[in-house]
Amino acid sequence: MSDCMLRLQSVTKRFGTTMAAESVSLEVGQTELFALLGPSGSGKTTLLRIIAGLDAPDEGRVLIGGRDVTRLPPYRRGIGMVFQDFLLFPHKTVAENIAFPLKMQGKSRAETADDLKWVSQLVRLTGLEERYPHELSGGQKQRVALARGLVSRPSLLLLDEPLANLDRELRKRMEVEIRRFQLELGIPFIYVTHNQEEALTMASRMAVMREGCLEQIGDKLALYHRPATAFVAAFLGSPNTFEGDVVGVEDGRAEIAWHGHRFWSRAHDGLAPGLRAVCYVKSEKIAFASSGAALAGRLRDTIFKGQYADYLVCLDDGHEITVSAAPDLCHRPGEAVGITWAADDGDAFPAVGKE
Amino acid sequence: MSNTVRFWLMVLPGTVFLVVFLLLPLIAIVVFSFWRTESYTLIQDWNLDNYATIFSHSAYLTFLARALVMATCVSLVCLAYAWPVAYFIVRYGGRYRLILLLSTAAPFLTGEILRVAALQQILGPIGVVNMALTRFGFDPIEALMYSNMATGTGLVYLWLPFMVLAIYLSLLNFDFALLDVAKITGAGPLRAFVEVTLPLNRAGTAIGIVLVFIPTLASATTSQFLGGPDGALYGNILARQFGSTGTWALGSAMGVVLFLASALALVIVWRAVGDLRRSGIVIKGAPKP
Amino acid sequence: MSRPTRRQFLKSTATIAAGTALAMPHVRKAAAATLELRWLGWEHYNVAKIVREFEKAYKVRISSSYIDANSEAYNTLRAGGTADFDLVMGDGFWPRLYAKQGLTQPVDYRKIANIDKVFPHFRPPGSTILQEEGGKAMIAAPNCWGGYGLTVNLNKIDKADAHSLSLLFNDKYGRRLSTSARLEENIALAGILAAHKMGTKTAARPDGKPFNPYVLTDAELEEAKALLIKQKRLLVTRWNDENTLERLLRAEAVWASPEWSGIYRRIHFDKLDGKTRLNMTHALRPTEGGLGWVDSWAISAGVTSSEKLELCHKWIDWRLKPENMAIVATDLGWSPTVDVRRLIPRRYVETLFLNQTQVIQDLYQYDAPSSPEKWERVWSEVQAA
Repeated sequence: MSDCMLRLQSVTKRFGTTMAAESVSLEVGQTELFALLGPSGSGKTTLLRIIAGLDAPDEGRVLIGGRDVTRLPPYRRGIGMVFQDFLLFPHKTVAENIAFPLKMQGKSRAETADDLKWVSQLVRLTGLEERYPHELSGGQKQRVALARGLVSRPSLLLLDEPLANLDRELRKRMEVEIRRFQLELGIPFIYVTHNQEEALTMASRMAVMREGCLEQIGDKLALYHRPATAFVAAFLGSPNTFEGDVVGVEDGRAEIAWHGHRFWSRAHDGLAPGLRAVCYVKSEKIAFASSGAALAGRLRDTIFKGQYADYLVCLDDGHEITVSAAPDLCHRPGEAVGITWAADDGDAFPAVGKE
Repeated sequence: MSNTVRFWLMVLPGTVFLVVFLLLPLIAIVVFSFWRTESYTLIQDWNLDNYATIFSHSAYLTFLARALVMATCVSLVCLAYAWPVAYFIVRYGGRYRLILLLSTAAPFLTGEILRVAALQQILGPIGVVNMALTRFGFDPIEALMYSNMATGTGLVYLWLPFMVLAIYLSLLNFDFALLDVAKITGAGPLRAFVEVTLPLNRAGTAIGIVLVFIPTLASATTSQFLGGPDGALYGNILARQFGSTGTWALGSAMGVVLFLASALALVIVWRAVGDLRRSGIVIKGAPKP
Repeated sequence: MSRPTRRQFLKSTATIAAGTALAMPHVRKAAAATLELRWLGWEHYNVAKIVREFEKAYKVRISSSYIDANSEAYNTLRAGGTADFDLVMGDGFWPRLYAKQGLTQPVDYRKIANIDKVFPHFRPPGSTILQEEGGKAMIAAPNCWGGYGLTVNLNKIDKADAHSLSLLFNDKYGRRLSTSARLEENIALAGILAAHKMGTKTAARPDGKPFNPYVLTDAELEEAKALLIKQKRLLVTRWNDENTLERLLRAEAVWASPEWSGIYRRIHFDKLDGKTRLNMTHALRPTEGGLGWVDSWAISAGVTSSEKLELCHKWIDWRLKPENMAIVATDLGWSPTVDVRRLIPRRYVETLFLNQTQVIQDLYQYDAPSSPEKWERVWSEVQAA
């Protein structure tokens, strides 16, 4: 990445005995909307705060635009940030909130007015300038927070789960809006979330974190379709889990024996015949098949999800498999069905004790 | 029992208490201020002489001026001292917050007289500080002994906990995360304090100032013990009117003037706080623009 | 009887309760049969030993309330205190004021055996201050006496200056002087000095009476005020309590102050015992004149029963008993009006001035200011200057 705007080099942070970030290295390019995805406690917020300068790393460096900012306080890094709780200044009007970064920079009144006008139009807030934060709705508050983050044209915008406090409809709209802002401004956004739907919608590249470590980093589709670790495979999408024994490994594929059934999966490092393995297959990769190497069972229930449906198939030995497919397939509850999937659509990893 | 009867039964005790112990004495004082005394007797002779005396005699105006200056200085010193203390307790006190707060108020467990007398031990010419200085060959600090400086120190010592408490309570409701925002948007520590912390705690600070200013304006015992011959404040003179000279009428008038001065101070501070929205205070149910 | 049922139990309890309630007033009356003697005066005179022995001997109860100043007692009496108290204390001319206002009643000296033990200077014909004005009845019995002289540190103050009131206003001793915070004594002393300087002390006065520092002419008040204002920068402080003054004198932060001689006596005893090198003297009657006091017991006008009246006289007699007065002298340090010179150690006799009781006739007695309003104004102006 020649034009990388942000670089983290082996950033480590400890809180007491807990490792919040363990030797994390990543790069974000100039025009990227980069997502940091992970469950709570994974260290993604810690990482964001280190990038912002609110916390200092115990080891490692942070470089913004090629400049080592590790020792710089936040107000010298030239970045913007948007918070989950909005954190608008309750004692200032919307206009004053947005103009605050400009005031800190000492910009003149004329310049401030211009910037204010531009950013208000960008986030569609014109007409609300004289209101106070407590008079705004959740969505309006978030847009003010975004405006405040963007008005000083920072080199980088950090977003810490900004949509978590909004309702679903609003969230969906804002996901699109935020992507639009990023494209229009041409600066990198670092977007932290635990909601994979947001990450997959908005980001181009993303990283999945767990307990302070980067599990996998790369293009979002790569992470989704080609998970590199068991955690990523289990985390993204809604996978079915099969725990079985490795029968054979050949050509990057492994044959798994699972409760009397056998199927092939993509093999990851560490698999050998006789070892225990866990295999993940995303529910939309499984299809109904009347013939072929299929598992047989009965359709127990159909859960309508709007654009697709989850079909709960109960195998003969009682195990349940979820199949996501088009919602109008004409299978009726109780009907006998067969399911199958391609070998490359499954990922098998060595089973490691209790995860 | 109907609702009205029940309402009055609940309201009556409190009202009676307030009327008997607050309203009636106040009314009595106002009435007395228009009478006069002669040789320890209160004579019901309606006149304005007492007020004329207070406002025309330079002596009484001097006392009032001294008290106003003292109260202002004490409030400002308390303000400067209490802010860092309260801030530190709230921000870094963790689970020791309450204990730390209570320890600033620990001197209250003893009485006012005791605390002032204890201060004498520290500040007087034979107090700890000056004795230590003389022991090592230095001259004792004149300003510490029986002076307005000593009175001021005593008053700050007595009333500081109130200011600390007021700011503490205000800071408890302050979202320190806003300072993170301020930092990121380009504010250095001082700027962040001025732009974010201070305005959002303006109401608490104002309450603290009022809690210190008004009692200090009326104070008498501290200056009695610590002030020198020039240290007499309005409160001392006021108390004396009800003591040995038996000049109750003048004393009542002085009391009314003190009450009005305190009320004026209250109004001024309230005005300075201004629009509550600028302090981040939201009043539920207030009409939206 | 079988086990009591609940109803029986309640009935019997109720009966007992009712019976007790009816009997209560009788019980209380029986307790009230013990006579109670109530006196209002200075706290230090409440000597436990003296009080307890009286209570035992006469089978009565003594209760006391305390005052800090005569004006307090005066106000209390006028506010209905005559019903609340049987005996009241006062000094100087105050008892006359009470008698004139009908707040007290005459004391019969014939009922007080120990009155003969009182120095002749404290009763007629030596002193008529406790006799009603223009009459023969006695309005109070003397108790203790003293002055308000100057206690002076002879190591620091010139002997020549030590006996004059002008010492308190002398620039030579700047920031080493002190006086009490009470305005009456301050203005009175300044008034004596002012009248002395103006020559009006011995001249004829507007009211025809001899000079009384509590009845000053306006000119004298003005001069006194000027003196007091000048005095301010010579003072370390005005003390509110004797402990402060004693600490300041012992630390030599203050070299001279008027006081009631108690502090002088304590420091002098320490010198006699070799515990201190401070050399203090007490000028009981300064050159220009000084203040003095005789405190006394008066009987409240509210005493109506003859039994109570008898008891009051017995109390006064008891207090005047030389043995009890000796306790007051040695334990409290106040000089009795009764001759106890043979009962107490010599150092007490000297420092309580019991060989010089005649000096009381040369001191101006404590009194109420002629115009409290004027004096309040003067003092305010002094403090504001």
